[in-house]
Amino acid sequence: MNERARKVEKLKNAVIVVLFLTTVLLLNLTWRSEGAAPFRLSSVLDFISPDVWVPDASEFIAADYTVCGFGDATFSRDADRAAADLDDLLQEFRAESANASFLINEVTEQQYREMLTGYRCLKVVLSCPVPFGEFCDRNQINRSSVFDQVGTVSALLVSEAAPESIFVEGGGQCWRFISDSEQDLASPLLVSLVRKDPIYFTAGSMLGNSNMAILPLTSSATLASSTWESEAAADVERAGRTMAESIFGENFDFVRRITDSFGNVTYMYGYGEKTLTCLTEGSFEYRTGTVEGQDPGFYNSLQNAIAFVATRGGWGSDRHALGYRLCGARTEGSGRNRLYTFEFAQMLDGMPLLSEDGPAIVVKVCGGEVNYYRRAVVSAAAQQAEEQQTADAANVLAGNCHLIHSVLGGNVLAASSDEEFAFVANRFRDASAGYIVTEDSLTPAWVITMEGGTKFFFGLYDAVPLGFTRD
Amino acid sequence: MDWSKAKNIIIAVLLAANVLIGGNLLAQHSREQAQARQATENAYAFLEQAGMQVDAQLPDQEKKLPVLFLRLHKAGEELTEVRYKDYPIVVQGSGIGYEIAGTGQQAAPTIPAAEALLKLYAQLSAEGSVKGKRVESVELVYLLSPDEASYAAQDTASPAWQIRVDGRTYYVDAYGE
Repeated sequence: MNERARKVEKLKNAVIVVLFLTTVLLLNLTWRSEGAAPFRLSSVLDFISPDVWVPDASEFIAADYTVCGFGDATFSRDADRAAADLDDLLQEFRAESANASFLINEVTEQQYREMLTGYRCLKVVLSCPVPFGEFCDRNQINRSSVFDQVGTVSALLVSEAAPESIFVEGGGQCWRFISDSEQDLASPLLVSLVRKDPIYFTAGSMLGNSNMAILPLTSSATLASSTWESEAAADVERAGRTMAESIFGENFDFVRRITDSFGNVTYMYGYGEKTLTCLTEGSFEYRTGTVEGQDPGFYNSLQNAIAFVATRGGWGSDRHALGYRLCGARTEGSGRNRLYTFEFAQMLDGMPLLSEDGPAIVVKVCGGEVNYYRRAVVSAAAQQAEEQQTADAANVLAGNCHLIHSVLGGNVLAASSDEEFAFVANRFRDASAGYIVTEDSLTPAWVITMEGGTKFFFGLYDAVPLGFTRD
Repeated sequence: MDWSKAKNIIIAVLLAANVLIGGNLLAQHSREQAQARQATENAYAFLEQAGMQVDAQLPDQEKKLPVLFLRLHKAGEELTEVRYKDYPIVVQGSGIGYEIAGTGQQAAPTIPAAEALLKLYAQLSAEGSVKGKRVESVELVYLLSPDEASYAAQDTASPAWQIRVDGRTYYVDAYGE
């Protein structure tokens, strides 16, 4: 090929490159002029990346612990066997509902006391109350119209006092489901009753009233204080920005951003229709205006809450060990205004982390849409100490009647110490161990739950008051 | 294979594609400009018919603007008036100084001046008659309305159409929300 031809070919190569680049440029301009924004994964609101882990709602509605009653007014409490016991109980219920029908009676206080204290029994307590109808549907329990009498379920139990029955507790009531097959449903489950230290008694027998909540006589633990930091501690500003991008999506660059003199940042969309506040301590709070819509039900609302959190902070990286527990669920309003509030406690080595501000994650859902999300998740490693005796739960209660009464009582007039004691003894609902998140550490604590849900925290070993939740 | 012929074909195809896409873009641009001009004329005509006199020249070119992040100073410190490019920054409230701390990463298109004027007309006519009112000026600014009760150290100014009618100043969100 002569020199001229070679030059022409080189020129053609250059022209092809230039024309190719201009084509790409013009296509880009065409694409932009059609108003397409740069692609953002977070802007595709309903899309969940396959790498994002979205747990199922059923993983959160789990058994918290099992209470074994030995017929002599003594009990033991075991968290390790609760999941298996719940499965067995549900299996019995499911099988019986498929083959027989149930008659339902409300159990009186006297009957309840007798069947728990005077007969062997097994009670599985759920982590939070669940609408009974949806609970049955979810667990394939055939239900008839008589089931509608029961609003929520917070525990299931069987007792030797009525072996052909299954009992459902919820909303402060206990219902007896009597199978017309008259089959012994209790014995197969009671076979596995095993005593485990510490021994529990009812609060009534220890405090001198009729309260059936249980308290340990003595107990020991190996929990130790440990340090903690916010999950966002490495870079709070970046974490806030990531959270804001995930919430506001393609509108993120146009939301109002307000930084106060402390460094807390508030992102505001529109005229406050949606706000996200990122505090310098690493916690986040998201709110929208009033939302209403068709009620998708408890489980679907819970699943929506779980999916929302999955893409905005997430549920942790370990898909085999959920680091959170649904510790509270409330329903307010009705119809299109029904509002579900879900509270998730962070778990550390099987123990809940709680604080005066409440659990780590709170989500509110109305009409299937999340309208409130609060997140205050910590990073910590559990520390273990030598096993040591804890403060007696009953003494913790008795010794702090004045504090509890003054917080819950609301009476201007001073009450006598007897009145305070009776007030507290009647309203006590649960005592369990956990960690309280204080300013500088995770402190092992007794978590005393009172009627209405208020929790009081006391040092696990020294019973020092550490605070209480404010609703 | 005759690479020389192949290159000729590729050049011809790319040329044709460039002409097509470029022509399409130009036509689209002309169409949009014509539509914007028509919309402005329609707005003038509508407002005149409604009894509102428009003395201001309405810009008909679309702008894309980002938000502005402003660092705020308390009252008493030296007040500064700053502009962002050609756009004045308006901070409502007394005694608040500011300086530009940054801009949003992306720019979004603003609504045309004619649309902003029509939105204002809708608001004013809901409050009462607009007959005889005079639109004196229409200008694109950056607006910040800080909450006086807050302790904001930094806040965000968004583009807004500043419209003066009979000596009173109104603001219409330029992002169209």
